[in-house]
Amino acid sequence: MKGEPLTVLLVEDNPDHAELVIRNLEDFQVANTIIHVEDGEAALDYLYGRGNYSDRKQFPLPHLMLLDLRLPRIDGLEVLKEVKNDDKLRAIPVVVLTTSDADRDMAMAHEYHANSYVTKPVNFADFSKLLKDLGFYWLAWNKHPW
Amino acid sequence: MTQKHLQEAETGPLDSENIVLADVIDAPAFQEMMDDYYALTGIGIGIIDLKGEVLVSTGWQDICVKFHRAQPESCAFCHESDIFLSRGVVPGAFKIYRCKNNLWDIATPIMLGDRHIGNIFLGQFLYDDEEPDYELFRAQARRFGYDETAYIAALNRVSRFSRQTVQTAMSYYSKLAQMISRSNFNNVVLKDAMSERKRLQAILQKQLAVLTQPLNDAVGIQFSDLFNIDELQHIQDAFAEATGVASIITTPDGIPITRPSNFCRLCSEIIRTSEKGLANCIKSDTALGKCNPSGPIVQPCMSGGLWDGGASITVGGRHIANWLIGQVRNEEQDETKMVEYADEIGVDRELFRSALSEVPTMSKERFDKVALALYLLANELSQKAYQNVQQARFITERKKIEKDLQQKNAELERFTYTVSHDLKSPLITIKGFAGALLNDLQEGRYERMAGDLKRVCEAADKMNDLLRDLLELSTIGRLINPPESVDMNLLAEEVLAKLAGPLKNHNVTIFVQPDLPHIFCDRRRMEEVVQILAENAINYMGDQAEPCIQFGMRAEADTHVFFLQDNGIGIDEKYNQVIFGLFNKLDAKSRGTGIGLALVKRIIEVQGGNVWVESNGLGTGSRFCFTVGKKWNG
Repeated sequence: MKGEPLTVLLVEDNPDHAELVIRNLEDFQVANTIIHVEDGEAALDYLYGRGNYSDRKQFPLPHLMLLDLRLPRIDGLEVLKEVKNDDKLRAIPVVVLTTSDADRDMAMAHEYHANSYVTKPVNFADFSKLLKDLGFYWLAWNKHPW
Repeated sequence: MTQKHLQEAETGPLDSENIVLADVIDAPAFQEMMDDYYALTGIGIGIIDLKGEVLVSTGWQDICVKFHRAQPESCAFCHESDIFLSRGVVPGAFKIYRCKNNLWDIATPIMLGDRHIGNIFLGQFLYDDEEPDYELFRAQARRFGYDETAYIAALNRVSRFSRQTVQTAMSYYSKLAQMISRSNFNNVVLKDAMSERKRLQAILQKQLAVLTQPLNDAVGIQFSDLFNIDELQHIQDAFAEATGVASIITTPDGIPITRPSNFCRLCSEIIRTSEKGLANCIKSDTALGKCNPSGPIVQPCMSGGLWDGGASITVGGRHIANWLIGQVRNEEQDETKMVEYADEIGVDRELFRSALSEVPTMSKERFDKVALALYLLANELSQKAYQNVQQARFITERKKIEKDLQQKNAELERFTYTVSHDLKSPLITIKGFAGALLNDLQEGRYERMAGDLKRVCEAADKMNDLLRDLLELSTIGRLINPPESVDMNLLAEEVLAKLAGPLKNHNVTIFVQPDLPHIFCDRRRMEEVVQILAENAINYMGDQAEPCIQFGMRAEADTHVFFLQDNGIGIDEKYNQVIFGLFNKLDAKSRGTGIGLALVKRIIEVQGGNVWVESNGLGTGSRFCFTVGKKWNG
């Protein structure tokens, strides 16, 4: 950690799930800023600094992206593919955090170079533990190139 | 047998020129058989193709393996012996010769048809009544650089057979070689037959589509779709030849399908070459081929008065062809009257008379018998054609069912995926916030508990909604109301009356195109379709100041396209498909589970129609279109 604020981009269409993720991340105080967008289009707008997200100071590139798969407008897998195909965005760790445990989704996510694929645990204690572990690993332990 | 060429030949034409011995014999099986035989008799053999490749071998002699074949120069002698010394032997016979390394060897040929493709060899050996020429072998040892003592020891181990044993063994092997040859040939012929069968299957496949059209479809079945015309021509020619009558198969209108067989000169060169004569012939042929279930029709022809007979060929009650015979005369016919017909159709009287004298004569009784045989044959053909049709339908039906099943399985898989995802989602919310509530309760933090409880309740409601909608979706296609004639104007009025409240609240203007057609459909389901589309139109009006909904129809080639058009927010083209998916919503916050358009799609498709959306993009409104099967003018 270089002392700069750590940003998480949460792409999640279900407001309840988003609330659960945000609450858990905040409880463990690993991230300084959590930005929540609700669909794939908004996620890409944010990452490319388009439209409302053009101010990079206010909306910096995230140190971790939590990506749901089944999203309105642009599907999570599409977002993942585009991010990993982009020279500037490729280094952002993308953790797919989804309800789906379909083999096809998991295979496709890895095919498109997801950094990790985890399914949302139904059990609250597991959900909390997962978010804590994820946050610590990617934000505290993991070294960023920027 | 598992030979490579045989399998390849199934997909392509037979090319027996390229077939080698290895393709037609099962070498490993032979090897096993010959190993046993060698253990039993001590007589070893080799099966070697014409290039010298050894396919089967038993009882190799040390002198061959360790000396002759182990040294390049003497090995070349072995090959030369295998290939050249064995030439020119008649199938079924054998040739005894000294191999180039001076041991005895015997060969008998293996054939493929009349092509020599390999040999069975017996050897190497020495007769038990001969003394080997040791000096010669010592010289060979020196020439090829063998260890002389070991070489002579190997020579002494070479099998010794009596002349009687050799004769008997070779007689056996030449019979074996002949048997292999015959079975090779049979395999190749079989393979040939297999590729011929594939070709015939392809033809059958082509005909399937035609055959399965409804029988009562006037332009449907052609005679040539049901029968192999060439084959039929053979039957017709043979029938005419055997019975001595002329014969032809025509359409019910008298147009020829086959070539005439055995036609007399009077008919083919004189009567049918005059315009009037030919017209009368066709008229006569038509009358003769009329369906007559009780027997053949036999009558003097209307174009000259020769005796004619005919039987009809029908498939499933539809008359598709006439099989006609005739052009014979008997004593009863009045020659003077017949010759007068020449004047009537405007041909030369003398020509007519001379041709008439060539016409075969046959008693009426005999001709009746021939006509009866024809009738029975025609019935048999009709039966065969009918069976062809039935079989074709059965096959097509089964293929369709298989395809449907595949589609259903794919659909089921998508469905399961969606359902498991969408039902699990509220469960995560419920368990998650219930856990948070418990934590807060233990820590005595009450401020966000009400909000969390609300989330739990809403997620439970959402789950309830999903289950209800799923149940609804599952009834479509299962609970079908009998289709009826539905007045679409009336239906639209009723649906819009139900939505009067929301329409008024949103200040929506409505246009329903007058004089919409009646369509034949499941009325209750059609109401649902129009209602869902209208509700969507109201819900996605956006901030349109003058909201307007129009329900109408445009006629296309073979179908009515109904549409419900609005001037609301519209849809980006890239979501044209997505919106019809189960529980798919473009705006996560909008009301409902996202089942509406999935329901519409399912209802329309169950009734054999299509549904799609036309929109010029956001802000331009949308037009949802659907068809209900084929155009129905009720």
